[in-house]
Parts: sequence; C-alpha cells; structure tokens
Amino acid sequence: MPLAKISSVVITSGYAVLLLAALLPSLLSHLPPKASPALALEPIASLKAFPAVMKMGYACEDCLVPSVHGANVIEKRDGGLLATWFGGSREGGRDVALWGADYNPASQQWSLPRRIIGPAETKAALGRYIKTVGNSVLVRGGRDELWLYYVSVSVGGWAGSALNVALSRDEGKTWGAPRRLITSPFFNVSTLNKSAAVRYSDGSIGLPVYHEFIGKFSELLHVDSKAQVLDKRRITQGRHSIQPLVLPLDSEHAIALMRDTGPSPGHVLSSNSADAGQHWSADQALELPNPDSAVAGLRRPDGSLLLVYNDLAAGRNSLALAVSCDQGKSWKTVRHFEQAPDGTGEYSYPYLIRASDGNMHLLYTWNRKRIRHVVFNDNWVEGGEP
Amino acid sequence: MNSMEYLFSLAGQLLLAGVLITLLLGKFVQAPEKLRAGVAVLLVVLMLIPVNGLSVAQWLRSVTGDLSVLMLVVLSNILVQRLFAFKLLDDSSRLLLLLGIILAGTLLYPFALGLGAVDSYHFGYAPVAMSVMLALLSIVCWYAGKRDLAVVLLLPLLAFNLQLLETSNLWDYVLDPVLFVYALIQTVSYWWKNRLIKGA
Repeated sequence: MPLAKISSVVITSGYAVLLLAALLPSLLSHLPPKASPALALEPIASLKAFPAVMKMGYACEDCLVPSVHGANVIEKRDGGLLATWFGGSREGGRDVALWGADYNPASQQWSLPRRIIGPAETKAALGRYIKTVGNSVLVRGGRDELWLYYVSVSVGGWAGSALNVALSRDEGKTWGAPRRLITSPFFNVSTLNKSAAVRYSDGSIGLPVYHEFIGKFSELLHVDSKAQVLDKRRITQGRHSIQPLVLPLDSEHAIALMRDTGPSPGHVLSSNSADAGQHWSADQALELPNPDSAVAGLRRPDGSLLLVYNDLAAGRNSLALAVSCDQGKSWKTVRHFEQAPDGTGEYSYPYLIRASDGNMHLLYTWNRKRIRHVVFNDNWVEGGEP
Repeated sequence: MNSMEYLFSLAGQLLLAGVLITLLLGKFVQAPEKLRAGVAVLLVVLMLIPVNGLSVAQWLRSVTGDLSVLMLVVLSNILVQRLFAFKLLDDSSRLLLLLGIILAGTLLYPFALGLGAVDSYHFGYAPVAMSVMLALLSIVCWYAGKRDLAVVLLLPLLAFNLQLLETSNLWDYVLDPVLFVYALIQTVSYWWKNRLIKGA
C-alpha cells in the first residue's frame, strides 16, 4: 500500500476516533430521553382541629445594619427554623451581605443575626469581582444538606444578577465556598430567585427564577440534588411578570403566581402547567391587585391555596392573606397581617412555609428595618381566634 | 469551581489578553524571533499579577465571563499567527467558522433573552440534538476537504463531555457573546474589503 494511502487511512481513523469520543458520551448519557419527573407534594396532615394560633414577632428586631430585605426561611431537622436575608447600608450597596438567624420553637426566640456570606467571600471563591449580593432561598438537599441559592451582581444593577449556591452540612452553622450557576448564555445575566423551590419525585428541584435584563419574565430552573443545572423552562414572556411563586397542585399540575411589573394598576398574574413545569400557559391577570410587589404562598393539605400579597393597587402598606379553593382561579381575602391606614410603611417580600407541626411561618420585610415573623395555623386562617 | 474549570477559564483570559496585547504592540511582536517567546512569557506573568484580590486575568473574566471553546480556537489562531507566523485554520475555514458563529448566535441570543415563548438556551441542556448536529456538520466539513474545521467543530463536544467549563449547557462551549461580536465585526470587515477590491 502506498505511503500516502496509509497516511490517509491513519488520519481518517484518527478523525473517526475523535468523532466517536465527541458524540458517544453525550448520546449515552442522554438517550433514551428521561421522562420528566413528577411534582412532589408535601405529606402533611390537616391540623384544623388544633386551637387557632397567631403570633407576631421579629426574626430580627435589631438587625445590626440599617437596611434589610428579601428574607426566606426553612425548617431545620431539629424542628427549629433558619432564616436568611440580605442587609447593609442600602439595597444594592457594596457592604450588603447575607445574614441569618435561628428560631427555637420551644423558647419562641430568634438568635442574634449573624453574617453568613457576602461579596468578599463570593469574590474569593468565584475568582470574579462581586459588587453586592441579594435575594436568597434555602433548599433542603439530601440528608444533612442545606443549599443556599443566592443572587450576586458583578456589574450594573439587579438586571446583571447571577445565581450562586453554597452548601452547609451542619444545618446552616457553617457554609462551604459558593459556586456560580450558569443559567444564561449572555454573560450569565440575568437570573434572580425569590420564592421557595418545588420538589420532584426523583429528588431534583424546580427553582422559580426570573429574568429582568431586556425582558421581564419568569422561569423554572430544574436543578439536581447536587445543585447542578439540568434544564431551564420559560414560564412567561414579555416585560411584566417576575418573581414567580410555583405551587404544585398534584403530580403533574402546577400554578405560578407572579408579581406584575406592567402598567398600573397591576394584578397578580398566573400561569398553569399540566406537565410538571415543562410547559406553561400564557399568563393571566387575576382579580387580586398587585402594586408591583412579590407574593408568597403554599398549598394546604386539603388542596386549597394560600397567598400572601399586598392587597393594594399602589404601595406596600397592607399585607393580606387570600385563600383559593378552586386551584387558583378565584381568591378570597380572609386576613390582614399589616394595614397602615395613613399609607406609610412597607410590608413586602413575604415568604411562607409550613413546618412539620402544621404551623405556618411567614417572614417579610418590615419597613426595610426589620424582618417580621408571623406564626399561624389553619384554624386561624378559617377565622378562629387564638 | 474545580481546578480543571479554573485552568480552562484562565487559559481563555490569557489568550484574550495575549491577543489584545499583541494587537496593541503591533510590529514589535512581529519583530525578531527571540522576542516572541519572551513576549509570550511576559503576557502570562502580567495576567497573573494580583490587583485588589484578583489576578488581572480574573478581573478580565469578571467582565467577559468564561470564553467558549471556539473562542479559544479563534484566539489561539490569532496569537499563533502573530507570534509564530503559523495558521491553525486556513482563511476559508476561519471565515466559514465565523459565519457559523453568527448564525448560531442569531438563533441563540434573541430567544434566550426573551424573544418568544421558547428559550433556545434550553436546547443546550441534555443536548442530544445539538451534539448530533455538530457531529454531522463536522462530517460534512471533513468530506468537503475542510479537515481543520471538521476537527474544530468537535472540540466543544469533547470539552463538554469532560466538563471543562462551569456550565452544564453545550451552547456555552460553542459560543459566547465576545466571540459573536468578534465574528460580526470580522465578517462585516471581510465583506467591506472585498467590496472595495471589486469596486477598484
């Protein structure tokens, strides 16, 4: 065989090996296509027979910094709570860090706030400049794993945000070095979180996120139990719907409720999925007003839905609780947590969870100075007095 | 970020800075051969100098983000050409690659940034269709005699399989905004020059 032909065969064989090395791993790991996992519902029995509970306090009354915002909370393995929020001289300031505190249900006391993570630690771990940090959401991972998903900004305002994640193996006492999630092809901007994650039957989670760079729309980030991004699905499109709250209705159906950033007067927006978050219907305005502010909520064991929202066309000086018994189609406001008749005050960014004892815990920003903590139960929602 | 991801992202910033500096230095870099290796070493040292807690390369990365594999190829091609007068890609393959980048960027960025109901970035996760498409393109290039381009098109897939970048999305291995803008500028410039030559 002539040398030129041998050489050609060798080169072509080399290329074929390269081709197989490039293609096969991708095909083997992703074929056959996996069926999308079902949504998991929280297995909690109804506790309506208990006496009504309603207690108001603060997760931080003296928050150690002038401005606090964006609180979230999770139940720890010992039945206590861990809350995190961001605080500093002002929202978006370079001195803003994530703060946290623990709640002891026996003493009904919160610990003093402690600094959890800030721009300096994030910068050191990521090897990038970090200007500030923002919203955070705590997510229960595998056994003894607590994941903290939080927003950071390198350049510009919140539209330039990226998501980071840090892991704690001691229920939030200490945190490992954060790492960045890549969720956008354009300089990795702009992905922000606000609301609680939903769980899937295979242990993965759906993290409701939103985009506010050119458009303002909601998305659902599918993340595995090790905080690796698996997929991203668009919930809405356009320039008017952010901060989605995703509530599973059953294993396949879910509703997303969103903040309306469109022209005033705004309304709480909703979108529905019938395939566990893979596809979403066009958003619709509910009857509930929305003064361009975030909402929180949960699904109750009887299938009804709760929504905490600012029940005003403008301003955030009233915070109410609404109930829906028809899977989010219609709502009835049943309680108020705050009402400042003089129009002053800001009660915003609610975050609502149900603990394993059946009590619900609501955290929200109180005039940007404090983080309010409210404990209540189903009996109080139904009109019972403590 | 693991050490491989760190090294890969650092390589991108070194190459980008190398290209920028060699272009700025112009004729000096094309001067005597002995200087070329020295300039290359100097670039690496410069980029690793810490400034306010981050190296120069990391500051650059804070602005550009991690560069795609194809951007590394394009940058390597420029740098090797400037420093050692050698081309990794011949001119026609390079032009085809840049046109492909423009097409891919046009399909990706508008939809990923909110145009329409479908997020094009979604197709880069579990990217069976994208992988097959890249492999088919590579095979076509191979049998069309563009063997350099055929190999280059497989590099993003190989790097994706090895998870050399922080991202788990194949799109980020194929292109990045810096490469997209560079491809646009280069292609328009090429078209403009040709137009002038034909008009002369």
